[in-house]
Amino acid sequence: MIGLTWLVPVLPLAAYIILLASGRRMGEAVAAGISVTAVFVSFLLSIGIVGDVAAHGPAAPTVYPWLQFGSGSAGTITVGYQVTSLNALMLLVVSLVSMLVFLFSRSYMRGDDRFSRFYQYLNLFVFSMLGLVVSPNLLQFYIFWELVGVCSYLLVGFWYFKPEAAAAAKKAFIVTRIGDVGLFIGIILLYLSRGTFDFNTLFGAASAPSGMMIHAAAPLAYAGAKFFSLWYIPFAGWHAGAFVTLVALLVFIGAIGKSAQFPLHVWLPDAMEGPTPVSALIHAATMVAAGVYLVARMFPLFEASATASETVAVIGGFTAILAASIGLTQRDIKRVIAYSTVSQLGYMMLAMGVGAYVSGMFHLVTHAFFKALLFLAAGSVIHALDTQDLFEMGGLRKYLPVTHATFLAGALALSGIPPFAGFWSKDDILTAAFTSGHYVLYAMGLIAAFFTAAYIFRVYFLTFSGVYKGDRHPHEGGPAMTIPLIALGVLATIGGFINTPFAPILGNFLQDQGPIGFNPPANWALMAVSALVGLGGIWLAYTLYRTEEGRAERFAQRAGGLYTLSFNKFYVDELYSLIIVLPVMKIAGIFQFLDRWIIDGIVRLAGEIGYTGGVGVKYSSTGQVQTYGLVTVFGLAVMVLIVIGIGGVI
Amino acid sequence: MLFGFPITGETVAYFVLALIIITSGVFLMTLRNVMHMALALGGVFLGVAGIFIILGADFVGIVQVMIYAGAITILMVFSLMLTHSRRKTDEEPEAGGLRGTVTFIGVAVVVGAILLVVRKTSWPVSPTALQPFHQSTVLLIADALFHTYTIQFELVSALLTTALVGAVIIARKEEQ
Amino acid sequence: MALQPFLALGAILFGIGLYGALTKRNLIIVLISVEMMLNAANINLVAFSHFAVTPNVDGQVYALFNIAIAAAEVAVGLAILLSFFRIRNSSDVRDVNLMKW
Repeated sequence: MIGLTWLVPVLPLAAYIILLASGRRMGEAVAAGISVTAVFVSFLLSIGIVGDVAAHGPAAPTVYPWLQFGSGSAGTITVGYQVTSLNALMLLVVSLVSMLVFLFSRSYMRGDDRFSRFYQYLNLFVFSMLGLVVSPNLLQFYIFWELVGVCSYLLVGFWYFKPEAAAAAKKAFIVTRIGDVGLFIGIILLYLSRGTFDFNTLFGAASAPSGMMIHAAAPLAYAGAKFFSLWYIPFAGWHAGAFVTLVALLVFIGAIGKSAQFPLHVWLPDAMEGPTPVSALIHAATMVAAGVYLVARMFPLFEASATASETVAVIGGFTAILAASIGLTQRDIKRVIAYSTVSQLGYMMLAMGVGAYVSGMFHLVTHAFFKALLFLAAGSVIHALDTQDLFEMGGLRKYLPVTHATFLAGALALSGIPPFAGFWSKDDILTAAFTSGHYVLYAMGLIAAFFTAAYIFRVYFLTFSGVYKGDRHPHEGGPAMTIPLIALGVLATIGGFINTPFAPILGNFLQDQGPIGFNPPANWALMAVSALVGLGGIWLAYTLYRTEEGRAERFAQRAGGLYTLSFNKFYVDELYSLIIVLPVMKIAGIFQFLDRWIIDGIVRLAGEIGYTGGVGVKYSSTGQVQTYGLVTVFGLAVMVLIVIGIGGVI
Repeated sequence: MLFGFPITGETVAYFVLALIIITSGVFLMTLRNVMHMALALGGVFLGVAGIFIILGADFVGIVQVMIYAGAITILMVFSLMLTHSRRKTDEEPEAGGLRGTVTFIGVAVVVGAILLVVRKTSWPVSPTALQPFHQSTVLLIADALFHTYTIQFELVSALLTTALVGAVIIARKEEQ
Repeated sequence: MALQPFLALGAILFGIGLYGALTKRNLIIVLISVEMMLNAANINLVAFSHFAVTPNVDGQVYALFNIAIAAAEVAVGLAILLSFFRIRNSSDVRDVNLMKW
């Protein structure tokens, strides 16, 4: 099966090309059928690959030379694919979640004018993500990384005729670009110091910190280095550790952008303007997971630098609590879940930062399940009600029983209530933070967990309990919607058992080549605390929204400024507008003025001169042949006179 | 001696013909009456034909008389009469004043330069120049036309046919 | 006789024709002037033919071609002129001014 790995990303690409070629003529059912089939086959292949890896261990990367610009391995850029246990796991998760989202979209997007186009983008998106996952080197990885960004732009702005959607797409693209630049610089520095893009060579035998050292002779041996050597000098005297930290932080900036960590988290909630299945795909499988995957893939680099790891952990922890506290007050169902994603990604980064590699990946997997579930359930609700405002919902348990049950499973998983999936992974992370001595981060994670349970059950109570406040007749969206919901509901319920402290299947799978990072030992006390905190959050939500009318409002009033801060997302967007967007706009305005009036003015002046001159001169063309002849003869006479004057000829 | 040339029949004929040609040309430029102009035009063409004959080109001379003095002159006169109108063309037959002067100066300079060149150049003298052709040139021309210049000859005939058809089409009245 | 008098005659005839072509208002006179210029060229051709180092009839043949083409030109020229006269009721060269700005 490993030999067929290339087929996994290629199948969605093929579906994309077929849909692209047939355009709008293709019927909805056919377009969706082709896409779902392609991803389904990819999913089956992924299962086989995981099985192969579990049985025989990872395979050596299969690469083909792509660009040859120098001698040796440093002068050759390769493309290909590679399967490690991490890749295989990601392949499985991505293809599984994508498949379910594809199926869901069949119902959700029914009747949309650009139905086929939507599936094109989805296919391209999944292709990019799968290609990213199997990339054996950083350059190929980066190409797919950018492709993922482009696809997110296309999909978030799918309803481009809505100004908010267009703006959100632009914002998502630009904000992630900021991170991408950091990543790109990091990649270049890595290449300069090691002369390769290959993950294996980068982190293979020489993954010890000393191997990362900058030294003049070795890297400069390859062709083309002379050009780069200029840029290379500033780091020549650096201590190896400092250099590794720099590179790791640059790479992490890329992950911050993609995985929506503070301070680049602002794009993700806005990305809710896209169709809901896209949100599910972005949040669960394809886009934001890429950042965490990047950190996991580059884990040896982070391991080599304590400073970088600490930064990752702190940013992760801070993001987790920040986003969770914003999620408490939002009115838009999708936004709450979006902030929940940001928060959960913070957990993953926290895990990576404290060295708990397996815990981070574990949480990525379980989160993919329950977050896709929550989004699809939200999509089902939106599909039924045609509103996203929490306060216009209520009582949906009666109307949408399947959605209700699955949403509840997802909410419990997110809140970390045993035995649901989220409990095991989140608890793993918290235990890792505690055990490794990061008590502050542990406390932040715990508070965030409390908030998490509170906000998701706030959504739950507002949506499904009480009485319906609208005047529509909500109903389930048909099997294409309910089947993915049920499948994900089951996964969210039992998905945690792949890595319980009693049977760390995932841990063993990921660490088949020896231990990576830090595996926290099971700690019953901490587990109990986590579960209690989750229950506490649910209790808070229940008290505020179920016991007494208006209690939540009174509570919010009492919280005062804190509530306003949270409701307005801590004014991060406004702050960015003020300190970045506004100055840039002002400068752009100046340049626009210069360009429009000075430079364009000169250009237009040149044109005006030519035009006016032409208009003036055209009147010499009188159409009178005799005048033309006279001028000719006169010119000839003048020439003759000149020749006579010069002498010699006549 | 006449202007540096020995007085022979040829010389006298040349000067008489040259006088006729130039006088007729000047008259052509100055006269206004259509018939007088036709006469002057005929003078020019006949004079040129005479020059051809002096130069031993009897066939060309005859052709000149037939085509120019005969056909073209008559055509021109017909056209002049057909398009005769009492509009400004008659009142102002040519550009006067500054324009005329400037044209005259320009033409005079060019012609003067040509004359100067003709005078200054040392033309090669043919040893047989005095009696180049001992028989009628008709045979020689026929030989040249139908052997050396066959293709050109045929092309010219094609051109004449085309011009004829084209002239008919252009001059024809538009049918409604 | 020598070559020069014939060339000089040709030059003068050419000059008269050029002057006429540039100043005359009547299209037909302009056409006549052009014919005179062509005749001047023919004189030159025949004269060169006669006074060549090895005299031959090539120049005369060229003159014949010239005459034929001049005849064609007159035919087409007069046809255009008649057509123009029919449209504009004028044979003034200044009225032929459609090809201006």
